[in-house]
Amino acid sequence: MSSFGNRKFIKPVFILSILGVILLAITSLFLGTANIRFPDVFRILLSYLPGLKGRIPLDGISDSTISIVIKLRLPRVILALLSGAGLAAVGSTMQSLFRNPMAEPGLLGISSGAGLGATIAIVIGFGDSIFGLGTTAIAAFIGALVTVLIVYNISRTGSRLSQTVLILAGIAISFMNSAVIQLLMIFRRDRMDYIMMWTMGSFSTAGWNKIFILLPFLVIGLTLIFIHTRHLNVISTGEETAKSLGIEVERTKKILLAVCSVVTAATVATSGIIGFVGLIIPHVLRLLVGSDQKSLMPFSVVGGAAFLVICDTLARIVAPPAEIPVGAITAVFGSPFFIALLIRSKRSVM
Amino acid sequence: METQGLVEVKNLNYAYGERKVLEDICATFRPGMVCGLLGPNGSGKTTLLKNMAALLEADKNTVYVNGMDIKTLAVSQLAKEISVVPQNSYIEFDFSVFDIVMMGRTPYIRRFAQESSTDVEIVQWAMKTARIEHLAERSIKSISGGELQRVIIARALAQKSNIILLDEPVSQLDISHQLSIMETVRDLAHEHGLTIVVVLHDLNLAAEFCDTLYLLKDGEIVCGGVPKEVLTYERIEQVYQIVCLVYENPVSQKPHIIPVHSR
Repeated sequence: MSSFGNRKFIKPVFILSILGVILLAITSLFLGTANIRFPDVFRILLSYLPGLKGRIPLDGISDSTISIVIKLRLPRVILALLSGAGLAAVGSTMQSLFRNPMAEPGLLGISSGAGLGATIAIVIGFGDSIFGLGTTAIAAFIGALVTVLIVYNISRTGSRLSQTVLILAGIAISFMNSAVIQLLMIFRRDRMDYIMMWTMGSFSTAGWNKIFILLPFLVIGLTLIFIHTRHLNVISTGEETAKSLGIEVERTKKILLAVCSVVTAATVATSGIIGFVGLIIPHVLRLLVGSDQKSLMPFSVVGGAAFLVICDTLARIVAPPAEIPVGAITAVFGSPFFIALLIRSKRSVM
Repeated sequence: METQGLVEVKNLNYAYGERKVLEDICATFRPGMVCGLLGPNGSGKTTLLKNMAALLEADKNTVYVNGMDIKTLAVSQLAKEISVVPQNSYIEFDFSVFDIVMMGRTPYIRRFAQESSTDVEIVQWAMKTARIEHLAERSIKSISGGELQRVIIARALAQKSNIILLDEPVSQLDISHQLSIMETVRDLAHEHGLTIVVVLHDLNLAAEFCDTLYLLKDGEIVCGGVPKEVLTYERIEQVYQIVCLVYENPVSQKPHIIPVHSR
């Protein structure tokens, strides 16, 4: 059940939270090492809206400022929004699917598998060109899918999945993937920084090309997840129960696991392994809006997007000109917040 | 002949891997009757129940609902015929009682559709019948074990099926909840005409509330019939390996068993 108590408030609160995220994104565009005035950010954004092109006077704003906002900061903010939305939705899906509040995209080795795939592509020598990025992304997908298939087949008996084995196998494979990534890093010291970016997660190389790679997977993945929210609710109360309520449990699980793998792989391929979002955001929101995925899922998407934009903004502005990996920020700022919420919810239960 | 809610089990065998659990089970369950499944731990009661609900992969042509082989029914079709109240209904996540009961409507709600006013009416009827209307907005995490069992029964009712299978619905409850839940279950059969199949451990509850009984031992049905025929002291001694006395309950005239000691 929710802290909002009344279901009637859910919709207005959701609309407010979307407006909040938009405001947050614009604020993030204005923050950074280059000093850009807030009204200028607005004018630049408005001038790029379809229909308004050329009608907004941009005098007094230098070309380099426009270029910073449109070519550097905007894709970065959008990529953070999309990755956060995707990772939180995947986390929320996996928590319901496995009836385990600790489930997250890193579970089952999806993230590390994608990371390993990307690392191999980088080591072989594909760079950050459009062609290279595409290849790295494909390698990340393959890594994620191969890992999930291995984990899935280990834990499958007949047509049923053993949950415990699934999670244990996922953890074991994750460790192995991480170890191989470390080894590859040692063998290719010259590419170490580049690989580090993948393993810690960063939006510093964000560009429109990455957005176009991520977007289709995200749209298809989220659509499939939203189609299944009712099923997810029922499965989260028990698999046999779900079956006796008329749900094709094994088929639904396979579809959603595939979706989770692909969406995670797409975010890892574009921005590296960003931990914690998929675990903490659905969990925090569960405490606020309840476990019904019909409201939890949309809030997770918005919450994950907001959280990563905040974290990435901090990654940019905390210690300029140095960049802090966004994965480090998510953990540093996320865990105390998470612990505080856990303590609060424990008190309200007692 | 009324066939809605008729369940027939014909020559059902079931094994977990190499271990045979059910052997050549034949049984019939009729609408308007409460039928109890009795037997020691490991005798196959729950396995039989799960086979009847297609939760386990039984062979073809072994379980029939309304004359149809359940193997030929889609999962969603079967959910409209049979509801299950499982042994363990622990729910990890926080839902309202209303949400849980509404899940009983899953087989009727199309993928993109919202719950209709009919669904809401049926859920309200189910909660009223299971006597949990006052709990509707409460969290599933905040209610007692007895209340939870009623919520799960309400969810089963919301499925609007003609058959409800219950696996040890009262074994973890106090005596007053045991009686009141068994009374509710009996009303479902006698007043609403549902087919009720219930796994029980308590022989006296079974004698009191069931119209017919099947007694299982080592995966086979030892005998079936009305409580008076099934629950004789020789048979209880043989199946449970105990020494007991069997009296007649002076109020209900049903058999009443007093266990004396194990053999």
